[in-house]
Amino acid sequence: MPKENYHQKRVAFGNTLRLLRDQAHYMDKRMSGDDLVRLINHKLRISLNRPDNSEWETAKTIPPPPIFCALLEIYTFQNILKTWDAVQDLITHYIEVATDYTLKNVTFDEATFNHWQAIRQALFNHAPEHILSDNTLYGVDAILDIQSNALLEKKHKNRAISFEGEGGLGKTSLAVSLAIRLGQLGIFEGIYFMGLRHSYMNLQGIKEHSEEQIETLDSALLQLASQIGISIEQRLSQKEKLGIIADYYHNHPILIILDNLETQADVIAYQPLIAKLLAVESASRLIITSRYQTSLLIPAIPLTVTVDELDKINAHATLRKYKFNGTQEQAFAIHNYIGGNPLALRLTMNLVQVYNIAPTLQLLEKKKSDLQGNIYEFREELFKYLYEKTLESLDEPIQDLFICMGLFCAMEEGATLDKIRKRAMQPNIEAGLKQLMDFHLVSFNQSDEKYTMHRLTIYYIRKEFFGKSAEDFS
Amino acid sequence: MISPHKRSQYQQHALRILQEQVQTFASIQDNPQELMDELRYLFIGIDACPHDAIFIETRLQLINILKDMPVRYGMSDQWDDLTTYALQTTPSDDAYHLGLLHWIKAKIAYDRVQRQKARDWISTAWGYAHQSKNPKLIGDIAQTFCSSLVYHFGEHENAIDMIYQAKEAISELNTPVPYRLDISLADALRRLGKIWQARRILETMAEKWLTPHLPMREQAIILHNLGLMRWVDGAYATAQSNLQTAAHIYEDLHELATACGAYGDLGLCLWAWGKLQQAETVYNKAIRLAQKAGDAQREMKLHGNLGLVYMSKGRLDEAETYILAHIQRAETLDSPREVSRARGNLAQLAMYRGNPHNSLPYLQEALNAHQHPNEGRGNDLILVCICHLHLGNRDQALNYLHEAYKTCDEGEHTILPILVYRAAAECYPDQAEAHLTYALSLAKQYDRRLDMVGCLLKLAQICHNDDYRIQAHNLLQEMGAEAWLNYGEAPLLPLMI
Repeated sequence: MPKENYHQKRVAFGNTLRLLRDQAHYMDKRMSGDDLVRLINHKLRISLNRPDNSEWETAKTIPPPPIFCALLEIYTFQNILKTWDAVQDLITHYIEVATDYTLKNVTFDEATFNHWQAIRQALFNHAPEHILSDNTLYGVDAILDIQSNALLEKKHKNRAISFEGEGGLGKTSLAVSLAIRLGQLGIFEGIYFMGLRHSYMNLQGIKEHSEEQIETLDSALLQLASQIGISIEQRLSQKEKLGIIADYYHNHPILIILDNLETQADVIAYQPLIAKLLAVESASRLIITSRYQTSLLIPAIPLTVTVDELDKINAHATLRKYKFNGTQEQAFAIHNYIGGNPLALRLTMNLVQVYNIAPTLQLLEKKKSDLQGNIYEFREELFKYLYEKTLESLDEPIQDLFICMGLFCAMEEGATLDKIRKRAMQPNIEAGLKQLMDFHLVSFNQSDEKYTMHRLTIYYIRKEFFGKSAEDFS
Repeated sequence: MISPHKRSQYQQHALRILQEQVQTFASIQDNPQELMDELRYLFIGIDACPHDAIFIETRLQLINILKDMPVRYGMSDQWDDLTTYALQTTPSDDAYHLGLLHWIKAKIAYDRVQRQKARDWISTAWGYAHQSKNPKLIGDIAQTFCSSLVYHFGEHENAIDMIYQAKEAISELNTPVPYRLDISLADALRRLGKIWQARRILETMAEKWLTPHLPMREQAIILHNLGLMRWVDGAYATAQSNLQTAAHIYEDLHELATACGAYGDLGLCLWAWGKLQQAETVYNKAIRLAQKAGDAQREMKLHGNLGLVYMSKGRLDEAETYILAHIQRAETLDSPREVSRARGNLAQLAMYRGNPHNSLPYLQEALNAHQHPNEGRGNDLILVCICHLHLGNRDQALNYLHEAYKTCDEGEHTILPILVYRAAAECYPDQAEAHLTYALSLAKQYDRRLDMVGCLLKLAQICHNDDYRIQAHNLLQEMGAEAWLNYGEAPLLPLMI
């Protein structure tokens, strides 16, 4: 090729790279050169600098084949390269200008293209997006920005993060938001969600301290393997099962959310898995949510974020989201009585809807003065009170529907309308569901058309039903 | 607060749901995915009124429906809870259900490799099974008991006794003995080296049970087990056909992991037979299936076996690559048993390369893992014998050789004697011709091609007989194993079952 012609092709190639990047996104913004370098570093576990990317785009240098392939993966995942023909054209262009390399160095073939297209479509199949459906979080953008970048930090030191705090604060929502934010970049092949409630709740929906926690982990490993799509025989030792999971975690960049470690016993039970994954050199990442301070038992977790209650400003914003039309002072008063737990705020809005603002404030003030004991007992009693007051305001058939859903419909995972209808006490449930949604007791997820309940809501129902008084009755 | 009246209404409602659900399970028992989806709903809120007589009865109905379904995968904890609660409410004179529930608890413990716990549960279940006089329960419990004794405790004789007791008890009830008991029995016998008896049992069983009317999956189970036994007994051609059919059926049924296992066994059969090219093809297919099924453990083992195929071909460098990968993968997957197995293979490789110095500890380790006089132990005895011989410890070598002879005498081995006589030819050079001639005749009888070549090359050297050499070269060419000719006039060819 004449030198002049070659130079033109090289400049054109640089421009193409620039054009592709301009169409790509990083989190919620257009992808910068820094962002792209961060993603490539993460994918290939290398340490490029910003100027490398500038040099490719200004045709000073040509990216080596592994980096070029990583770019193709990202742009295929982000659906900027929409067809295999488009990819082939780009590869042909690359081979023309990257004279040091041959076609065989470019390992991105049609199967790889299809693979990343498929990942784009299936990535969130196991991520509980419904958790976010009615649970917009306030005051967390900064946390998400900082922590998502921290997890992609250049030296790969931060391979895990733990969100810690009491129930109802939105730890799971934060974890899922973070996973979705990272997942949309095109650097993970799968997002998997392990809700410990599935493996650790007895038949009556009550959390127990099992004498044989090792089996709980064993079952969880089988469930995780099943989600990932790998096969593990039950008869293998736990060490072997962990080895297989860790091997996949090492070879495939994935995100695992380990949700809802509630107690010290939970952390002890899952410590072998967490420790094993932390020890793996990998582009995979682990996100944990816990009520217990995990770092006390697993100091190797590099990032820990304590999730606090909302301050009064964000509490007010949250109330407004639920159509609170009172004054700022009234919102601050609510915050003063019940604190800034987002779920408690949401439930309080039910009282506001039923009683109006001023009487609600009186009720809350009285309740606060009645409730003695430590902060944890206060929280538990507060939630119970808010649920009870909300239920009181519902008609009996709707109360029945609410109880039946919590008892019989596996609402943690979500239940379809058909499933709820089969398990409710009467067939006409649409109006009841609407009211339960208006009262924020039930959420609906458009993408899989399933109804869900917050975990604390389900606990409330099951505890009411199976608690001490129920035993006396039985 | 839920009022007592309302609570009672919810409990009655819960009962109705449970009863309806129990009725629908029977219709979806052949669809594991649908079953699992339904179970997820069923297990939540199931104990709404645990002391109600109707609930207790319905729960037993549910357990009866689910007892043969694969609920243990992913639902093991809930299944365990359900059985535990049911045990607490089952009357002491209900031998059938007490047997059934103890058996389920035993199976859960067995799956979790809780050896003693499984044994305790199954022993109790066995007592109830006899009292119940229910032939199906007796058969099911005997099978689990047999597996526990064989795989957890190595008590093969007790396992055989147990199966015979079960067969007798079932026959006394004028009921056909289920074929799975024969599979368990044959397995225990094989592990004691009683290959002839084991094969007879399976041949008779297959003749009786294997009909086109039997569901395809059941056919595959019988063919798979029969194929394995025929392979061990050196009936390679029929074993190949059985294993191939079984693998195809599993594949058609989309049971990829099981299909992959059957293809792996087919690969072993072809390899032992000396059909090395075909073995390579089958292993590559099995590896692809393992990848598709996401079965990293099986994929690792298959790579190790492919290494053995290359070893048999004399392509020792490639064999080494695969065996080292096997070791590395086994270490990554935290599987000490496989690490040990792969190191044993590497030790063999070093020996065939004429470098046995580091081999002995690994071969000895493999031998120590085989305590029963079966073909596995016999094979390891031969390898340790040859290793000692190459290290100049002739007396030690002879001790191991004699134990291998004894193993042949005590058992009912068909292939092991070939290896023993080949090893004897190495240990007793002055009697080598006689030993090799006999080994060759046995190898021809079973069409063991690599053994035939091993004998022919040595005989050609000893007897200065070019016909032997030509026959050996032709066979090597046919097997794609000409690489052995690079290792001298009469190299020691692999001694493997």
